Amino acid sequence: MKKLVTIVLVLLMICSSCAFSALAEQGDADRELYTLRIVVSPTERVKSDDSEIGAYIRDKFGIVIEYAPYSGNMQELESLQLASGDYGEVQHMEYSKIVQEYTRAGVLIDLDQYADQLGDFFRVFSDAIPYWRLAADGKLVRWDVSVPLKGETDIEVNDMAVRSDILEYYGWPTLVTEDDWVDFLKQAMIDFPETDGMPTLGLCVPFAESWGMTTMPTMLYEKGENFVELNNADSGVLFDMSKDEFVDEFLEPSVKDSFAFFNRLYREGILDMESFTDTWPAVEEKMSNASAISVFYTAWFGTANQTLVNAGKENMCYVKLPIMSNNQFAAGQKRAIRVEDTRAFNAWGITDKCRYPERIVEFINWACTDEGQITLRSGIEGVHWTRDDEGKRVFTEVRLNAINDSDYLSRVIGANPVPFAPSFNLLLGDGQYPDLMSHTALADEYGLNARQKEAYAAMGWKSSTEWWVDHGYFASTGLPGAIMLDSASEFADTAAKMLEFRVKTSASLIMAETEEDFERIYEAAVAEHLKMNPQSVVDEFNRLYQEQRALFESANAD
Amino acid sequence: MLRQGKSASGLRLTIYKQRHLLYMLAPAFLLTLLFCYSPLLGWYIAFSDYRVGDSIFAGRFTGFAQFQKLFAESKDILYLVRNTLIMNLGTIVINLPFAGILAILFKELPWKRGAKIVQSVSFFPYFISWVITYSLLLSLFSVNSGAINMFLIRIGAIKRGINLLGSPAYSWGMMIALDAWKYTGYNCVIFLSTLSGIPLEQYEASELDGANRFQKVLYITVPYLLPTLCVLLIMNSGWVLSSNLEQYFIFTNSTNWETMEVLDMYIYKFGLKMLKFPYATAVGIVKSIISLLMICAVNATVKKLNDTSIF
Amino acid sequence: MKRKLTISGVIFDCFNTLFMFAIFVIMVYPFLYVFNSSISSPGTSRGSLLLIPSGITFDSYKILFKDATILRAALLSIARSVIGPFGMLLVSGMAGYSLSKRNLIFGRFFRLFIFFTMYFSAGIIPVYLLIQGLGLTGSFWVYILPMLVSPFNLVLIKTYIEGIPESLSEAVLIDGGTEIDVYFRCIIHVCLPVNAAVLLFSAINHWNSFIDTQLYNYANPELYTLQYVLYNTLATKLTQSLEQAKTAAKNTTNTQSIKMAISVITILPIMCVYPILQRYFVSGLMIGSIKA
Repeated sequence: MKKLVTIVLVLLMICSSCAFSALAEQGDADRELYTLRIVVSPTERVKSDDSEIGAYIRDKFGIVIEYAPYSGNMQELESLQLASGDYGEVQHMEYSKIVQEYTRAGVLIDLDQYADQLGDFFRVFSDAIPYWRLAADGKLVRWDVSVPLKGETDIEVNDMAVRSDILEYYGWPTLVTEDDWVDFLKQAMIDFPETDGMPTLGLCVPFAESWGMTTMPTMLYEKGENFVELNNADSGVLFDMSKDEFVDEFLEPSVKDSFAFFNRLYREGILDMESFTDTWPAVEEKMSNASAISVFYTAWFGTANQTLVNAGKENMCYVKLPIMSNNQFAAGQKRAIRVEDTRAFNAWGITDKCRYPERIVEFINWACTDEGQITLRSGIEGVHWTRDDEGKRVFTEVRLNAINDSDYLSRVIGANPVPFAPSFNLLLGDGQYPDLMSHTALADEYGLNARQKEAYAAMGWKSSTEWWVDHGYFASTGLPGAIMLDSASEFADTAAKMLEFRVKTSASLIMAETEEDFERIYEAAVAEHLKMNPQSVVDEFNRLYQEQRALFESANAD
Repeated sequence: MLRQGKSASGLRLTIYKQRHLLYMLAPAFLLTLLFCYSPLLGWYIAFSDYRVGDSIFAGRFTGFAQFQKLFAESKDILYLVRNTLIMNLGTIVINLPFAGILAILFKELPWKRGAKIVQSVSFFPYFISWVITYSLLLSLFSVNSGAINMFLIRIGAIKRGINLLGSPAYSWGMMIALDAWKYTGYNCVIFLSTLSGIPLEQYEASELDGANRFQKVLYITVPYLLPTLCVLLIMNSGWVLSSNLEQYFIFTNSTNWETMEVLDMYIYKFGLKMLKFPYATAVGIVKSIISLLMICAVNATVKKLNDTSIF
Repeated sequence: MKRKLTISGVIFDCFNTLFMFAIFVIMVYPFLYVFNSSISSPGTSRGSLLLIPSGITFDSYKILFKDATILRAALLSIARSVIGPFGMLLVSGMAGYSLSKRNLIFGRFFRLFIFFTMYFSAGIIPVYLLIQGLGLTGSFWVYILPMLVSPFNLVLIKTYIEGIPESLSEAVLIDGGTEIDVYFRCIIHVCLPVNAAVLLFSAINHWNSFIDTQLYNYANPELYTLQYVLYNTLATKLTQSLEQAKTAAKNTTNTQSIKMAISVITILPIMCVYPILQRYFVSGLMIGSIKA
């Protein structure tokens, strides 16, 4: 009898706890709706709960996002919002300057007071949080979206895009160094003078983009093992990982090599003269009709390849290949692949205008759990993904079809519906990434078209990023990536002037008519550059670096 | 008539007599005071160490520090001022009279219907944004594949494509010509509306005096246009240091910056973009003062020459 | 009015006609290019002069009109393009008349006061704070109120009035009217040409306006103007263009042709309004008839 009673009681307890948790679920759905208006870059989406994932979040947390599309300059808007007090409840901050201003104005709330509710948050961002504290005098007032991105998931190597039919013509040559490329392109321009009645162009670059001249002419510096592109690259300094210190960008030998490379392309007639007046759409156009043999850095050929396939010119599709300077190759350098620890471009904070900060905190912590991250990135279990017999996540048919349909993905499925939700690529408990497309194999399987797969196979590559993985190593941006100048300081002024000067000299360096001319112009430019006292900026960066590192070490020693 | 007696009562009487005129002026005056002058208090930013997020008056007073900084930079800015002045003065001196002459030509065309059509059509370029204008120029004049370049090469007129958009040699001419193309229709409308006010009796009377067509234009039409031309000249002279950022942003690139870059680009890059509001405001103040001095000078000159003035 | 034909006159007319033809081509061709480009497929139209469209497709327009908010935005733009100009004409016209009187007390001061505002600006932040402080952010009236006084147009009106003989206004004054009567019963009609011109300019300004929506009403979709909606659609396409496989597949539209389509949508309504106003500032018969 007693046994029976015990069993019944236990059963009752189990049933009631199930009922309670079911009620609790229901309770969540009955929670008062909390609608936030978030300014985002232009989108067709109107509200987050129009999509499947967004509706799920509304049901679970009662949070709905209204998107306010803004096509102007985000930084200007965010400054204006701060100046007038018109900022949002959860505010986006683009780039470190804006983060600095918001932090200084004291309008962001301190997240440490919610430390108890942010267990998963602290766990996931354990590397980044110390850097975020640095920018805010030790307080935790912000988080970045799209960090951390570990290891193999985000091999963002913007090297060279090249037409695969020309590669095939020459028997799939190995193209790595400057010399390889120059010889190849020179020969290709002789053998392929025209494409469909239009003159073929050797190498195209969108220099006329706003970031065009500041970024691309010096880009070869990051193809070696000592440098990765940091957020402070536009401040006239680079961080040399081999020397563990900041150095002057313009005086850096690999930067000079980069200019020399472009100069060589110019002198050999390979560089498309329109590059100086082309923006990205113009270059994309040249890829879409295959008149560009190769493209530097902006090797984004999704649309172009699709256009070529539909025009019946599938064999001309582009593939991505590496490039290094001659000196880097001769020195046997590996390729440093950047892994970002902080990403101030996509920084968010909860402001003093937030009506229910606890609910936001609850949400972002959930986003840091396995369950949350999977839901936000891959979708809802049973609808967008299921577990196969081995317990691995696999996409459903619906979700697979949406891979190349970004409109369906964003509007109907609603991937990443909450702009401020943490979004990262770490291996989760089930041994997979939150977004299955982060696995290179899957990304290649669904992202590459038939021709590209054929090309990589012919080159003997097992994946589209094999060369980089084999010849490179992953380098975190770390502390150096988080060092910023105070935007009100005179160092910031000097850095701006240095950058301006470099941009202005770039064109004349690239268009030097002979090698002697190039050397002459370079020497003159260096002299002019030194007049601006660039070392003061370098020293300031190094001083900040040492200072922060000391703080770090003392904090970690506790 | 009232003597200018005791000024106080004379003043009050005049105000009373002119009260209707003042009523008509009142809305404009008050709106201008509100929207244009009251925010000028914000110029305090230029004299303080204001940073975004503070209240405007909370900054520590720094006096003329920003202005000193500007004058320290002035050598670097010289080429910007030169570019701006050349392109703007060229536009004023060439394009305004051209619009006036065009208005006269419209009137003189015997085919009235045609004149109306061409005049309407001359307005079209005003609506084409600078972004599109640039695209259009690219497709016509890009070095490798521009339609006009290809045509000229084909007929052997030139060997290599004219690099209109990527060479410093063409900046000034191109921008002045583009301004003419874009705004002639607009300016022409102003002149035409003035011409519409000329009483026909004047022409008929002159015919009786034996005037021929050319003399009619020279002695009747032109003098009627002159005040309008002067007024436009004076107004535009105040904008001689300002530029349309949308326009210059697109056309300025790394190869033609020497002649294409203008002063407003500098203010944007080194002021607003870097969030240095005190500096940007200070440069704006200096620019405004120079513009106002310019206007006063031109106004005084034109007044002497032609007895037309704006104030 | 019969003209005597002279040899020099005929030669002049020939040159004039040729010149007009050249002007016609220079002004029309770019717009023809824009129009044809908006209905051509990018793939087939590259590098051509586009005297006729190639690969005709209306996909660019379809994409722009897909946005359901476009009708509302168009109505809003029409509203402001009517209310704004007439409001401006009222306020600035009256003021222009007043300031044209040489003997106006403190006239010099008033003229300078209004005129100088064209040459300085308080800066983006102070102006924003003012608009915000007046409660105009997120409101339709931010489109109208700041633009009621247009110094440029005011000066045009004032200059025109200065060319009108005094006798006209004196007639009304003798009849016992005030200056207000003079303006509304007499001057405003005589000013028809310049008023038409000024209305046109203001209407175009309002119609094309974009920055004020972006600055003050970006968070209020119900107050978006047509330009703003169009450019948002364009910008959306721009950010999506990197992954946009579907539309690119047909290659009937790209961001370039969408921009062109925006230009066409913007200019067509104005081109309908323009001829209506044109006859007011091109005719030369008004003054004679009024006087009679």
